[in-house]
Amino acid sequence: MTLMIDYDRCQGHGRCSLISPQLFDLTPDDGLGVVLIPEPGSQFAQIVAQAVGNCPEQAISYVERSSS
Amino acid sequence: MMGSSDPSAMPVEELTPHFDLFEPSHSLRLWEVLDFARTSCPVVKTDADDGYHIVTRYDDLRAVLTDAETYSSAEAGLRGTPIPMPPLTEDPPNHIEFRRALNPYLMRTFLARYEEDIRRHASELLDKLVPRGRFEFMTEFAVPFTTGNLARVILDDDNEVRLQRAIDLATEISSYGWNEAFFELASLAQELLEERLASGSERDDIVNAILRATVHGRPLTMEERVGATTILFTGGLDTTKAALGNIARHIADDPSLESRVRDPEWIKDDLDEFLRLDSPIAFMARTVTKETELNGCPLKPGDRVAVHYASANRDPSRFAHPAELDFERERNPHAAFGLGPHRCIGLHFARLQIEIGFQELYKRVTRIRIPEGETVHTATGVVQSHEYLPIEFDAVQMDQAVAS
Repeated sequence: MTLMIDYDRCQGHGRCSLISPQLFDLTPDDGLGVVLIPEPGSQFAQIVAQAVGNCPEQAISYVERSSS
Repeated sequence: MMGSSDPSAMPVEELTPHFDLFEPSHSLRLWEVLDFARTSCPVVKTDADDGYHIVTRYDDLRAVLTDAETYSSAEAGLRGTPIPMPPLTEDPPNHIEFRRALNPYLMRTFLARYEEDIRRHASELLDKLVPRGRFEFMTEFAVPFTTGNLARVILDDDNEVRLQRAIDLATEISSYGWNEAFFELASLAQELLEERLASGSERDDIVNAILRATVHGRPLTMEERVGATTILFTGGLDTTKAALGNIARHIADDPSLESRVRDPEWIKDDLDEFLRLDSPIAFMARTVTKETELNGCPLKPGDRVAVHYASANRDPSRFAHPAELDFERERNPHAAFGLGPHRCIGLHFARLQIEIGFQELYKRVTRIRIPEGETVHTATGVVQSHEYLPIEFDAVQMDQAVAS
């Protein structure tokens, strides 16, 4: 499972990095979200779901990476 | 005649087509009207002012705020703004350039250098207020706290007299809205900008960023610089103040919330539930640029649209039991800071002040309550803020608070 930010949507609210500074940071220049652990593993499932569900721009996805 | 036009007695379906977002007698029925509109006609037309549509549902709000081509921000205030205020009143492609120039200076990493000043400011105010046993939270704490911080962070003026004047003007604007004080603040901002430009000094701050910013490879005009400086300053005025007051009021009403706000983790998530329920900015506006349809409602060029953040934040299709504080929500993607490219540029600064404000308050007091016989007054219009919020409390020993 891969954690990704869609930069067409992210506006830098910073909710993700507040909820989980372990998984997300913000870039210092434009302040957009950055994924720190792209494949966080199941122990992070709950906090990932929280970050996804609280993003006001629906910019975070946590999906099976397509192999093609 | 009077009876049938009395907004307090009118049936909701009769009031809604005339609902005036700025009218105090209407505001008593705000939630009733918005709840009615959301279910019966979610993009609802009112003939208030010269007529506008109110966007009441969350998904429609997102559709408007993420489509700048159809919905222009050139007149982002429902009743306009006194002067153009980039980036608030800009559309793409200029908008993104303005934001890129300013964003880095409103990041938490940059604001860290002001944290101690903000904390000291809160401490000084509270050290005077708390020994009295009660004070008026808005004018005695929230307003001076936020205006002082804004003056320090946005203007960062070495001229103490001018800085104090800016604070006084900001206080006036915060209390009475756009008026002469606003134009005096704008001319004061221009004086500061011209002085800095003439000195040629390069400082690592917001004023410098505004002076150095370019759009389309050209420097900003002085009008744009003044507009940008004043929107950063005034945009933070009523909003952070409102959030501080709204949260204090909730804690006064429900003492069990104190322990929540004492938990340093509260700013990660719980703070957002307070912001969802009582969004400081209730609405902003957009102008329709071309024939379109929004959730079944036809719109034509020139139509004015009020994007109602506070209504979207209580849309039951997005938030279960939306009129209640629920800190266990699994999803809370609230729109209190707006959505899309115009999201509040000062949100990190606002969060920082809210965090420090309550930290310093709770080092000194416990059991905040509204004194018996007192009535809280709340504003009508763009900003959902208490205007009069008297509180009393029990003082705590500072060292005891630190140990606990």
